[in-house]
Amino acid sequence: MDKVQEGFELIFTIVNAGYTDLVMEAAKAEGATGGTVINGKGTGNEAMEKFFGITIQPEKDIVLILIPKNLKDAVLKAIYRDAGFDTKGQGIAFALPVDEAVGLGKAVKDLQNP
Amino acid sequence: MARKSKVESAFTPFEKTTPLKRLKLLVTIVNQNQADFYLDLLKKHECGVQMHVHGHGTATSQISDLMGIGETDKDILIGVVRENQVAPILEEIEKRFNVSRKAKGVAFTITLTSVVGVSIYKFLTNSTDLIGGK
Repeated sequence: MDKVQEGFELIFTIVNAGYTDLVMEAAKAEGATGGTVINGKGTGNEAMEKFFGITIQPEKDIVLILIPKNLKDAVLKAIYRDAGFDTKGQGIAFALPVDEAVGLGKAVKDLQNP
Repeated sequence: MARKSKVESAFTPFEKTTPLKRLKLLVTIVNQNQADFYLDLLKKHECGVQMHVHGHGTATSQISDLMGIGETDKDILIGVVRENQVAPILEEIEKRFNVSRKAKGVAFTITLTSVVGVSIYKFLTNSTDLIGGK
């Protein structure tokens, strides 16, 4: 199993439905090659909504982006800037450590070892 | 007698009596209608829990036109597996990815840091020795 790759992170972004383009454009500008979108439904806290004076749209999209560790900070920052809480996307992004990954294309490997 | 029964009912945490096995979350993202192979594979490797969701890829149309892949609908498979099963599963998954361009996908694992509930842990590890099976 020589092709197993380490040193990746999974960026998990939850945005309002229809705003996945904001996330992907921000991520691609920082070097991400692609992502996967899942539809979901948020369960916001009404008291919190009143307190902060915002409405939480229940329909959500989840964007999964697998990215080399060295690009993680830049991509997270870009997502926060372009699709973060102060934008229409109202996105929440976080990264999870990936132990092993298989099936990534050559483009992604090049990103890891520039 | 009363004293003895008190000793017997003393609580011993599960992790003190049984060596724990680390669990990992295995996520596989493949083209739509390719999921069955991976579900069978996980079943074969005694994966305790598996979930199957639909999603779609975000590769731009320019790139997909260039590479000749119009299809962007994806199947996402999420399963919990024991750490020692990860290597053989990933090996078989990679073999499958190389079958054709349409079979291409991505698979990765994330370590679980906590599980609450001994019975849930036994269920997730699918350890027949722990649940008294064969």
